[in-house]
Amino acid sequence: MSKDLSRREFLRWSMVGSAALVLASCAPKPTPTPPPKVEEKVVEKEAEPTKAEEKVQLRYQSRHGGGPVGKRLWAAFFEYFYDKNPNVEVEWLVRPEGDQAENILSQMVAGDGPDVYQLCCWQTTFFIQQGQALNLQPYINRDAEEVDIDDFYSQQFVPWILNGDIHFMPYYTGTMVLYYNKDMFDEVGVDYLPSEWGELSFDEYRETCAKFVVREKPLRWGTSNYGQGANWLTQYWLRGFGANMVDPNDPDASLLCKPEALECLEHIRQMIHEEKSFAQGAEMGGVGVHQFFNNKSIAMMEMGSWGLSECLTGAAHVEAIEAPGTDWLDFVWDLAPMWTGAGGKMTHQSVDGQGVWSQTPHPEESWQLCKEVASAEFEMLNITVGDGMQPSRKSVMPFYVDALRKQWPILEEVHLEVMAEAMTQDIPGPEEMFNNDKLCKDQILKPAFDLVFLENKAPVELICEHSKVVAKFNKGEIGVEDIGGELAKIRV
Amino acid sequence: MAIGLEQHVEQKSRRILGIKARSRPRSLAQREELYAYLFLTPWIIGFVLFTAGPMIAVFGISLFRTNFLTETYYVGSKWWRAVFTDMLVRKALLNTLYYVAVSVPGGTCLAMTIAILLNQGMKAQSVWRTIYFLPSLVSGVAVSVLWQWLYHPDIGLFNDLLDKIGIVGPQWIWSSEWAMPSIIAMSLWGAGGAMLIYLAGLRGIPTVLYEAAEIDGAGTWRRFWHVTIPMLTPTIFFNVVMNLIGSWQVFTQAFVMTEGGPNNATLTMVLHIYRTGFQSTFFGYASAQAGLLFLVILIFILTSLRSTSFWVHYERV
Repeated sequence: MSKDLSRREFLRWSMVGSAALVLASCAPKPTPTPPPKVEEKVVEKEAEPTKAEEKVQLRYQSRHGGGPVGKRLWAAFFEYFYDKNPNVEVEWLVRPEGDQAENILSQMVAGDGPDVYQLCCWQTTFFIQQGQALNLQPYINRDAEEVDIDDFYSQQFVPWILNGDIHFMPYYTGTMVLYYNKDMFDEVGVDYLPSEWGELSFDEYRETCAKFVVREKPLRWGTSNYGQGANWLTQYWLRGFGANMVDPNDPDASLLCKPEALECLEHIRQMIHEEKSFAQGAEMGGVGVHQFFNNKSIAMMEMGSWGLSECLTGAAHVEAIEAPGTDWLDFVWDLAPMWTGAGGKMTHQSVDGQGVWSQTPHPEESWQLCKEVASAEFEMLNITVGDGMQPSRKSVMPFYVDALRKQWPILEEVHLEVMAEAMTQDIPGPEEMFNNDKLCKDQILKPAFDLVFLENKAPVELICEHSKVVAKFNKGEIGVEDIGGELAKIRV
Repeated sequence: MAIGLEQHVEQKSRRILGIKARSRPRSLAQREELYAYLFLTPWIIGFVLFTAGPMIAVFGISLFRTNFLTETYYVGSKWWRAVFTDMLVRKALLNTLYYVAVSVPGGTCLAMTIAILLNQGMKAQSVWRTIYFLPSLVSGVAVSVLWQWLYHPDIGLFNDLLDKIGIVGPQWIWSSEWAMPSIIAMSLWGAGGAMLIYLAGLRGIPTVLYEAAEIDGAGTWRRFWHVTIPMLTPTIFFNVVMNLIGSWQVFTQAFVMTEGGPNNATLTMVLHIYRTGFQSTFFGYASAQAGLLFLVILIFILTSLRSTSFWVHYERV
C-alpha cells in the first residue's frame, strides 16, 4: 500500500533539498586565476573581422544619469568611435540607482562586470586595489603617441599607479580654487584676492576670513568647503603646510603625526571653533557649501571647477548648449587661486577616470574605448555638447575657457585662467589614498576627526594617535577585528 | 457504488495513459492539500532562493576570509571568535540596543495612545487616521533629509522653538550625546503604521465587556486597565515583536544623516555590517556579524514568545 506524503514529511524533504542546494551553491569559488600578463601576449591590435556578426560587444558603465546632456554627449562620441572601431559595439549604461561602486562590485562578483567603468575618487583606487582594473601600462606604452601622457597634469595618475603601472585613465579633472563674493568684499572693505598662484599666503587668507565673521543671526563666516575631515578636503590643506595625510612613499602609513600636519590641523580647529571663520559641521547643519555661498553666509568657497555650473545655473552640470542664460547669483563673484603655505602652492585635482575590468574577455577593444574617452577629441566634445566639465588635458584647457566664456558672457570678468594655470604649473595634487583607503579613513581616522573638528572635544594629537593605527592595520600587525580595541586604548 | 464525474475522468485518464490505478481515490481533503502546496510553491521557491537560502549561506560564508573577487580561504571559527572580542562590534551592538530599548516601548506607547484617542468616535476620524498614518509611508531617505533640516542647530524648527522659550538647543545629530536620541525621536514619527493595527485591535474588543465592567462599577481608568489592555495584549505582542525585528535592523537614518558618527555614536549593527562587507570587502567577517545579529534578534523573539503565557490573553470562544 502506497504511503501518501504527509505535510510534515513534505516540508522536511523540501527543507533538506533546499539546504543541500544552498550549501552546494555557497561552496567557495576557487580564487580566480589572474588574467594573463599583457606582456606575454603580443600587444598588437587584432585584425578587424569582416562580418557584422563578429562584432565585439562591450559594456561601458558611465557616471552620467539618463538625462539629455549625457545622452547627447555619448551619442556624439559613439558616432566617431564606431568610425574608428567598426568591429565594436558598446552598450552605454547610465549611472545606476544607489551606490555605483556597490553596483559594479556586485556585477564583478557575479562574473558579469562592465568591460569599461567610470568612477570617481576613492572608488577608483578601491577597484585597483581589489585587482579589478586591468594594467593599462603596456597599452599606454604601445600607443604612447596617441595617448600623449605628457598632455595630462603630471600627478593625474598618482592614485592609479599600482606596482609602477597605470591602471586608470582620466575622464575629466577639477581644480580646487577659491570662489569669492566681490560684493561682500566691497561691503567689508577687503581687497579682492590676487589672481596669480603663490600670491595669497595662508596668513592673509586666515585674516581675510576673520573679517567676515558675524556671530549674530544671520550668522556669517569667511569660508568653507564640503567639510574638513578624514578626506581629500583636509589633504590639500595639509599639503599647503608641507605635510600629507598619506605617506607618498608608503600608502600603508600616514604622516599625520608630523609637526607640520599637527600645525595645519590646529589652524583648522581654531578657524572652526575659536575664530568661527570656517563654517563646518553643526553650524552648517547639513546645508551645502553652495547654498551657503549662494545666500551669502560665506564670503569665500573652496570649490572645484565642477562648482561653476551651480554658480551659473543652480544646476549640477553646465549645459554647454541650450543653456537658459540666467544670472543665477545676484552678486558679483570671481575665482582666485588657493592660498600658498609653508609647503608651497597647493590645490586639489579631482580623481575621475575610467578603467578596464581585469576579467574582461575583450581587453584590446576595451582599451580602445578607454583610450578614446581620455582623448582630446572626447574632451572637446564634452566642452561643446556635454556637461562642460574641466578637461584633464592641458592642450584642451584654452578651448575650455573660451567655450565657457562664449556661452556665458558673465565669465569674461571671472579669472577662469587660474584653473588652467594650476594644470600647466603642475600644482599638486590629487587625492591621497591609503591601502584599504575607505576603511582607514572611515573607521580609523573619522572618529578622531569628529571629536576634533566636529565637536571640539579633543586635541589634534588624537588624530595623530589614530593615524598610527592605520599603519598597524595596513602592515598586518592587527586585524580588522582589532581596530576597535586599538582605538579604545588611545588616551590623549 | 456510483462515482462522481471527477473520479470517473481520473480513472479513464489513467487507463488511457496506462497509469496504475490508485488503490484508493484521493479524498477531498487530500486534493485540497495538494492544491494548497501547489499554490504555495512559487512563494516557497522565492523564499528559499532570496531569504532562507542567503540566510543559510551567511553562516557558510562566515567560515571564510573572502572578498568574493580575488581571495577566498577557510578560516574556521576565526570571525565568530572575533565578533565577541571586537570593540567596534560591541559598540554597534550597544548603540543598537540603546535604540531598541527606547524606540520599541516609546513607539508602542505612542501608537497605542493615538489609537485610543482615535477610537473615541470623534468627527473626521478617517482624516486624522490618514494624517497619522501618512508619515509611515514616506521613504526612509526622504524622512532622514527632512529631519536633518528640522534638527538644524540654527534654522531648524526644534531649536527655533526652544529658543523662543529661552532654551539653547543642542547640536542634535552633530553631537555624540544627542545623535542617537535624535534618531530615536525620528523613529517615533513612523508610529502611524502600528497605530492602525492597534485601532483594529481596539475595534475588536467586545463591547459587552465594557458594559459588564460599567455595571460592576468600574470607572474609566479601571476599564482601561482591566478590559482594554488585557484584550489588546495579542495586538501589543504582535507589534512589539515586529518592532523589535525592525529596530534591531536600523540602518537608513544612521547611514543618511550621520554616517555612524559623530565618533561612532550612531554606529548600528547593520551599518557596521554594511561597511565591513561592501566598503572594506571583508565579507566573511560581515557574515559573522550578520549571523550574530540574527542570533540576538532570535533570542529576543524567543524570549518574547516565552513570555506570552504571563501577559498575553487570547480570547477563548
